[in-house]
Amino acid sequence: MKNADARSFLIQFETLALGKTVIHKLHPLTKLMSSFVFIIGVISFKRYDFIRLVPYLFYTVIVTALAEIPYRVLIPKLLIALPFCLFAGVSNLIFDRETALVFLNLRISYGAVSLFTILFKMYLSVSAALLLTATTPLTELSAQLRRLRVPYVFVMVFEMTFRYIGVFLSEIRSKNTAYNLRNGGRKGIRIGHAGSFLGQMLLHGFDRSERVYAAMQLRGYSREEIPIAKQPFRLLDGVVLAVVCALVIVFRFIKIW
Amino acid sequence: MLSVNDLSVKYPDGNRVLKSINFALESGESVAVVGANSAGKTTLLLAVVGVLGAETGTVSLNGLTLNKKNLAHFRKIIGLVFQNPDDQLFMPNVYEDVAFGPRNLKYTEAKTRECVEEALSQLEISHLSSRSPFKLSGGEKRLAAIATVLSMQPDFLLFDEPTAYLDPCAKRNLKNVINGLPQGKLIATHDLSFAAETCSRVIILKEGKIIADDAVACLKDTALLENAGL
Repeated sequence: MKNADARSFLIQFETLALGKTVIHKLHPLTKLMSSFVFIIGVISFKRYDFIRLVPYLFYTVIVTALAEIPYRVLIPKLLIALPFCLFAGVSNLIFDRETALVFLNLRISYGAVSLFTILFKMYLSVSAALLLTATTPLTELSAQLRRLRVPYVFVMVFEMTFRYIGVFLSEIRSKNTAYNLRNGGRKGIRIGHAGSFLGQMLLHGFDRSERVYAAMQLRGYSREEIPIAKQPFRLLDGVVLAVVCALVIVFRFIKIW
Repeated sequence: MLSVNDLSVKYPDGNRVLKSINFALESGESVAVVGANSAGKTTLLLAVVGVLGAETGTVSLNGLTLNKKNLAHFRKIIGLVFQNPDDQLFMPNVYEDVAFGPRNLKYTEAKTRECVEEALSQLEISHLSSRSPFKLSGGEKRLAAIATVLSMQPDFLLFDEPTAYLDPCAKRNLKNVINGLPQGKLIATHDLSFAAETCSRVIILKEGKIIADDAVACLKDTALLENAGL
């Protein structure tokens, strides 16, 4: 993905968070806690629990549909995490060859089951995180983290990382273009130039980040307080949170399959 | 009235960029700060809003001297429009960006909406409200950046190279916009024709010092301009 596209992608995500669907209207704390409980539930399953994860698929499908989040936005982001999970799980195919089940005369090893479980867990947990950010503005997420007494430094790092990703991507894009226009038609950056390229990019990136931070401070941004419109925590918010938590716990501890 | 008294600013590397700067800006007055590159124009603006600390001297607003405790008050009264609008626009759409300041001032959502709509309509960019700042043209970005400051209802506006990155048409439009703003304005620029069209007074900086503080007609003094490196 080109950097310009990557930045557009981030903006697209932030724009989606300003939607007006029933999911967007839920209290940010409900969405944050539901996503947290869901992700903890998903990652707590053991390596061969593929089938037991299936009910959790409904959460992502229902939230995606109700929040009207297009799959063409979600799927490319999910694919970014795919190589890491494949790398983590592929060795299971080699070392864990004992047959787990036979399906249509096809022997499926425990290694394959564990690989699919890792991929499925990745899909579910990354989807939940993406859906949270696609349905809740960043400032509201930050404010809820502060409300949950998450130390300020973590919230600030979270917020600034999200805010500055665009700045760094923009720096990479302009430096890359400038380099490519003068590199005699070669592809990529030569190894001898990589250190200098990276150094310059970081210096410019830090410089711009400082200016962005100054612009935020000049418009009243405070390190201690994150301003958000006060949204009342309604009965519906409590019910949704309770139902999600209950279902996550039920499917986690009761063996239906 | 905004007044700068004996202001000197030194960077951590020891480079003294501003040396004993003195001037005052009345409410509603438009003053250009002109000078060659590295004359200290941007540093002066950043020092006035407290982004850069003064080595010596003070910045005062209606008799109140800038310090850490009243920094927020100063920044509500004095708005700075950056040279590069991309540094100033960081929210998902123009409305959210313009609402960033009022929300930080703890305005209610209704009051915030009122401030945003007023700022956008004043600059005639209400139609950009839902657009992503990233996708705007240079001229639109500049107006959106001004709106982010106007929504905080400041009494003074500081502009850092407002004509940078603008084509002649956008520049003309910006000139009309700036001339229509009632606030006191300090415009740092090396675009002399723009300074002449928007300001009544000119401060000329050279190597961090004021070498002239006079009516805009002084921009016709070729010897003075050459001395300033312009």
